[in-house]
Amino acid sequence: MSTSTVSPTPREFSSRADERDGPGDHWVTIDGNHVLIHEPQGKENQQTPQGLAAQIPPEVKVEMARAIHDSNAPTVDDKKGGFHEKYGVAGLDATGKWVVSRDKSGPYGNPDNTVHVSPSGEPVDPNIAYSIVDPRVVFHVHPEGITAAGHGWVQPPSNVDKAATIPGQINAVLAAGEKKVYFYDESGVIGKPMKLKDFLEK
Amino acid sequence: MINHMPVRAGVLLLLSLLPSAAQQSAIVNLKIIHNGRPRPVPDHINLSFDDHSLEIPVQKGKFEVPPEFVAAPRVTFETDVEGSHIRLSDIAGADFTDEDWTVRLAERANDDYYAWRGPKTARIPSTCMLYLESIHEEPGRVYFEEHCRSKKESAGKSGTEQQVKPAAPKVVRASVPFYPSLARQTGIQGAVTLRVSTDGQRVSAVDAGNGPPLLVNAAKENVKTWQFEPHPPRSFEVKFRYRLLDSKCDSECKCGSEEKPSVVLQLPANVEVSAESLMLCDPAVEIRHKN
Repeated sequence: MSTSTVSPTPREFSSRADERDGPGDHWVTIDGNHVLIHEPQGKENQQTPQGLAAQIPPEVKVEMARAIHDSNAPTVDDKKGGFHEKYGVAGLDATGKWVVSRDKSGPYGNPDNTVHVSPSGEPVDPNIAYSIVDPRVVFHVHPEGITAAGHGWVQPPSNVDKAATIPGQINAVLAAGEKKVYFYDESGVIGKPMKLKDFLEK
Repeated sequence: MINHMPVRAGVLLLLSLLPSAAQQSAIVNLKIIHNGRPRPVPDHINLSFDDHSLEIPVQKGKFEVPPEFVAAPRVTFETDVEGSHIRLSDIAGADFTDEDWTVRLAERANDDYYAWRGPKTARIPSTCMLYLESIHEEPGRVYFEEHCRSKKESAGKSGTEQQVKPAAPKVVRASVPFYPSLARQTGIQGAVTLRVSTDGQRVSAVDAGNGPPLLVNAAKENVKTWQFEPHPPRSFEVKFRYRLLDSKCDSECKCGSEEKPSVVLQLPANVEVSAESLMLCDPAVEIRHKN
């Protein structure tokens, strides 16, 4: 967990549930959620991995890198490490400080005989998770473990990842095996994946 | 939550609930709007209360609510329209008046979205509690616009009763509340209490009492869409309850829960929103590059 004071950056788009339609607004019901999505005209295609990376403060990037490290570390059921996911959300708390909420480790998955792997969906500290007033970044780690049979876990965002894109947030997959960062939205991967090294340096 | 009562079509076990001589049946005009266009109405609807249920034919867009149902305090209305099962519960029987009921359906546009092409708001009577549910995935979630103004209410309550306890402002228009996606993904649930002030017709201020911020924000955004029948400005408390349904993913990463998401509106005091957890699911693959 980390906190730092960083000035909020403008959001690329937002969602709300009132009636004030405007250019670029459209209503969708996603999995039963009735949402008005606002897409600034002419800006939606301007997102680049570099631009998105620049919106993430260094302190948050350190936590994201730590999530990769933790995915490779042993857990109770993942004895060697590298076969479980990590998940986190970064955003601003009520005082305007950046806060990172990390989830507990996801369950161990052996890609030789397990068909999928997922985050735990359970925050390490619910109080920190609940303190985020303005979420900005959602990330999770795709583990890098490979079995002797040559099986591993998908590295780019999966179809479910894309379908579960959180509107208005920076959605990122940290591909531990490829050592790359994928930014994505519901329509797919945004640009080319960034090398983890470049992401951390930006 | 509302119990799911099995509907036994055609059962007429209402002898013990014979209508009083004074009670009259109600004729309801039923309209179905799908994708903004009128659609054929079903040939029957089901009404039930307690453990009694009745299949009622719909003829020329109208169905007749028997007196015993008009007299019942809580009635459930159900029908199937274009693949979606529509269920509207906890209707006061007296709310079945000779008014129009309009049911609006959302349409599934593609694999990822349920695009809503109809009106963005529903007229929601404060006297009714709505239970919105779609049992089938196709064609999508259901959305209601209906009118169930009570004859009793139209007639007006006694002046004494109104003086003793001022009626809560009546909500005439509101957006359907939603469960924020991020809260669904991060397992955030719980109750939110808001203090709402009105200017006599619209919400003039909303003060958050307590609750997770993500949910507080969603609740506040929803409350801001409420509109009321003209009334003296006042403040009142509203409680939102957000509940996540346990979800699991199958071998093909199709994730969901056994229980269906729902929205229960008991305006202006209580709102309950349940939704499936928004799961992530990443498949195993063969890694082609050399170790």
